[in-house]
Amino acid sequence: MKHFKFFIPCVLLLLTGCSTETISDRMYTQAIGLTCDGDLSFYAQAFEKDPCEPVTGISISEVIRQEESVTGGKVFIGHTELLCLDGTCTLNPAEELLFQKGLSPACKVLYADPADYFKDPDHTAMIHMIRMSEQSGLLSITDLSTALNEWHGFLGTALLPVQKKGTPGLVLLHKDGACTALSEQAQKGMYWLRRNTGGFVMTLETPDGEQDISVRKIRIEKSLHDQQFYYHIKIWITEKIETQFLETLMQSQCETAIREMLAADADVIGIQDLLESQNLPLEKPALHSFHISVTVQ
Amino acid sequence: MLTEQNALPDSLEETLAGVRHLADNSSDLLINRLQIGDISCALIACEGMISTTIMTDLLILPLTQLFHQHDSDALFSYIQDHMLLSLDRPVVRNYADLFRLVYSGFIILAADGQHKALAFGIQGYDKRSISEPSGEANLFGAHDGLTEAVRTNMSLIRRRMKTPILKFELSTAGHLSQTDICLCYMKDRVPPQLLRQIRKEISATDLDTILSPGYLQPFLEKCRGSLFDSVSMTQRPDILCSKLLEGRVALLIDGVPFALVIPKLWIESFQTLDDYTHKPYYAAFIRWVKYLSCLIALLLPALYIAVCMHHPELLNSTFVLILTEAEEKAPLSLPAETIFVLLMYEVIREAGLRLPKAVGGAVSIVSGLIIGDAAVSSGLISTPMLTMTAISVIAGFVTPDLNAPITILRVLFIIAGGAWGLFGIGLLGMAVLYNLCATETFGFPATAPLSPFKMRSMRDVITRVNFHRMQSGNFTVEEYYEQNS
Amino acid sequence: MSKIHSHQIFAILILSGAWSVICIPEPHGCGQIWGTVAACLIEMLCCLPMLALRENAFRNLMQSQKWLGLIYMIYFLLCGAHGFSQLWEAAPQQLLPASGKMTAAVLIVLTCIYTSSAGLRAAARCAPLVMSLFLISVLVLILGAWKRIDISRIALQGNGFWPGMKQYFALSGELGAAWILCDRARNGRKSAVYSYLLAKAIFCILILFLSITAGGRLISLNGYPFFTLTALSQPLQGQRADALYILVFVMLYVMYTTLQSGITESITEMLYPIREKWTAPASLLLMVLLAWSINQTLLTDLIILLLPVLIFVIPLMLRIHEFSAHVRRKEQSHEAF
Repeated sequence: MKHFKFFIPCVLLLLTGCSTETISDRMYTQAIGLTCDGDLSFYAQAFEKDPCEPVTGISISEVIRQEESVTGGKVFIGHTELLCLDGTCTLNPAEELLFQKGLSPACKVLYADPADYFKDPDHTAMIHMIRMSEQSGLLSITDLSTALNEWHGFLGTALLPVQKKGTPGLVLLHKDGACTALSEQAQKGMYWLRRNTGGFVMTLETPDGEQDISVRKIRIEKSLHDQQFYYHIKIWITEKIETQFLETLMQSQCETAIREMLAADADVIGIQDLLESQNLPLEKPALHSFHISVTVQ
Repeated sequence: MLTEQNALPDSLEETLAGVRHLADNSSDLLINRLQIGDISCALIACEGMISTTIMTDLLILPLTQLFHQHDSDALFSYIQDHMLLSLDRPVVRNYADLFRLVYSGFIILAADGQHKALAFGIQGYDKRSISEPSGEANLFGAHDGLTEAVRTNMSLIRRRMKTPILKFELSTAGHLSQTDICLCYMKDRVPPQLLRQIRKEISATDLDTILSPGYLQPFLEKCRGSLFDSVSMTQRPDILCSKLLEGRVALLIDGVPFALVIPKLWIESFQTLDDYTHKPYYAAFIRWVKYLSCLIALLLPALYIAVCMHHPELLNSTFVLILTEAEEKAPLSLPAETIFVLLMYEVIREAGLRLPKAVGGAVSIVSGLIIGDAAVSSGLISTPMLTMTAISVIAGFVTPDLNAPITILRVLFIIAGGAWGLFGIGLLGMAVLYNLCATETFGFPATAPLSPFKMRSMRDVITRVNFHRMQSGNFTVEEYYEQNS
Repeated sequence: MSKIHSHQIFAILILSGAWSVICIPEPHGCGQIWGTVAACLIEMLCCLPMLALRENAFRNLMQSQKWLGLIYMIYFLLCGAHGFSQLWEAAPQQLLPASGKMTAAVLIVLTCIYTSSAGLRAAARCAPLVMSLFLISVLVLILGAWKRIDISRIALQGNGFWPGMKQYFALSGELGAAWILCDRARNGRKSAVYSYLLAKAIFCILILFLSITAGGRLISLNGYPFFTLTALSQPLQGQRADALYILVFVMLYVMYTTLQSGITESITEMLYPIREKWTAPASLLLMVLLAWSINQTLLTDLIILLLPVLIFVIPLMLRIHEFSAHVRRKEQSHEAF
């Protein structure tokens, strides 16, 4: 028993240096990219470092292992801010990254060809641009967990931002890898129809001229009655303006968004949730079954 | 064979021979013969223990006036009934009592033809004057502290509690040292079973000597293997009085300027007398600062290591990059680095305690400049890690009562966090929590009033209510008693 | 054997119950919430005979019918084994840093051996303290999931009522300990047990609600609603905070297992009045062995089978026996008069 008591402190002391991996031995990725052309190709770039050479493998675990052997340090994706995917890969590997590898659910998913994107990347600028667009009401809020939720819906599509000249745009990515770009009107409509927040200023061309309007709060109420979908959007603004114009504009934007979304066989506005809440069969609804109403207060 | 348990013989010569034999002619033993009337007597004392002025004025002079005494029985009964030579006048019947009293500063009068001797308390040994306690600083409380003399300490308490309800019970402990110990309690509120058990434990101790509170403390703490004390120590008579008012028992030990107080609750480690001087809002704020400091002292380095090594996703990316850059040059792993710094701190602290004051300044220079600055500049130790450790160490000073368990547990948490991250910290944390919850003494759990939870007591735990509400408490520690049935 | 306070009984039962709830492996749909409510109401009714018995009724029963004590002991060993198998299945979900499931299991079992040896009284004192930490973590979970809640995902007439009810009964292993703990309570036994039943149901419904509304379809993909929810809920913007729930995982498992081994030790003490320090740790090792030998589904079925007998049938029979004895005594005293 005496000897056993001496044994414990020795074991404890050994544990202090037991882990040879230190904090500086890791590669903290800021952005990663995936393509699936037969094999899986993995692109990565750490914070304040140049992009690494892409590695290929058959699974996420394998490509990460290969990346670790190339960089000489453990790859840590917990701080990754941007995941770049193209139509070849879709969102299938993203699930494993989220649940098995510790990717943040708030990570932004960008639709772009990683091979092109990682040639001259400025991830900080891109992420900043996406976030600013979301905060300014130009882009609907998307992140990895929202995209995956949509991806596993009955129509299997996800709404993702895409790199464009100027502000980013939005595309609908399908399970077969095809993607449908949304028009500017539809993008704005998507902003009203999805769970987004207020607290931004938008500039509108009103009959009285250009006007800045501060949107304080947005609330959306969705319901389904007699197989008719009702989306009622309420926004609160600070300025005293003629609300009729704004309501008409927003309604038209929402209708455009729904039209383009249904044309692309997509569901990114919670249609499946409404159907499931009433135990109705999951079928793509017709455009005429949607009723949008807007109230500006 | 003559032993200390032998009764005193009636012959003075045999008595003195016995004393010399048992003391082995020790040089500090003074034996002076004198004739009181026709009776041969002797005064036995210990050099340096008695006041020679008092001895001359109040003892020798009056005794030498008794030249009309012819019989030792009459002499002794006259001295006992008609003369007040000192306030403390026990009767000695055996050598054990004789030596105990002689070495406690009494002078013994032995007479030929008497089986007993008379003792007179005329202590005059040098003792330290009452000074401010070094370890328990307070801004607004009294600045006197307990001293080594048990009777002085008794007077310090009595001055604050001028009530006959406060009771002192003197006894001795230690076969060789015969140390005076004093049980203090308020007889109207002390739990009788607590008093009974403490008396039983003290009488059952089999020690030769008691030189510090640590000798008796293990006998009063019934929980072996507990990391936390269930018996507290204090050097302040004002704090001692406040504890006695709550029905606790205090133990004063002669030769030790600390009192043991039973039972101790863990939450008291965060309470100081200044809390009851400030306004309630400030006192509550300071209380919470102390709770937070305890957690920081215990867990900050371990959490830092666990998060950096195993869960960096909990940190902001900017913070991670700063830490990565700082740790790049460090040759050791984070846990090893932290333990090294903590060990160095303990060495410096211990050196600071033991060194003579004149050299103390040099220790500060060496530790602060040479070790601290040079180690960081050379890259041996990283700045963020040193900062975390320094914050943790400083936070530990806020609760000096918990210094010992925090010091050891901090290292264990570092090892657990380094090896297994938050999982290891969680496991060790549960083990420590269980250890704390299992700590009790004489049926009083250390975790009271948190568990078992007493809502009424939260007024002095979560916050500190004002005295208007506090005075209606009538709180005693007996509320927390849990019987083993 | 010392007394336990009612708030300690509540805390220790709710923490043990919370362990089972966080280890729910698969959601069954919105109907599971109604199934939980129904199961909770049934359990509340089943506890009535047990709570109507007098203090020390269980102890007296054990001393007079030792064979019943063995059945209770087997039940708690099965509960402990079930807890271990839940740990084994759920551990990978937590991305534990300990290398491998085996290392994590060994470490946690070693810790439980220590905590079991401290006794049931230490566990009872520890429970309220751990509960305060648990409540903070639940608050953090709600705050993190709040932004993602989408009420339209809730279907009032959803599927999963019967599977949900069965699953809730399977999660109620610790209810068997209620009678033994109440036997040692000074007062407030009814309020402690009913508060626990209510709080556990609320917690279960909260987890199901949040996982459906905040997790959406990802919950059914990944399973383990609680762990998936912690991965998705982000109180800290941009960073995953699910590592913090490792602490919750550890705390709840240790409380659950210590309760089972502590109760086993109590029963042993009642049956054979020899208090050995190693009874609780030995029972823990036995639980691990049972978990290795018996399939989890069989363990669940055995618990569902035994629980109503132990908390309802036996106390009801005892109550009827007491009542009839009381009636006979009254008749006899009337006759004598």
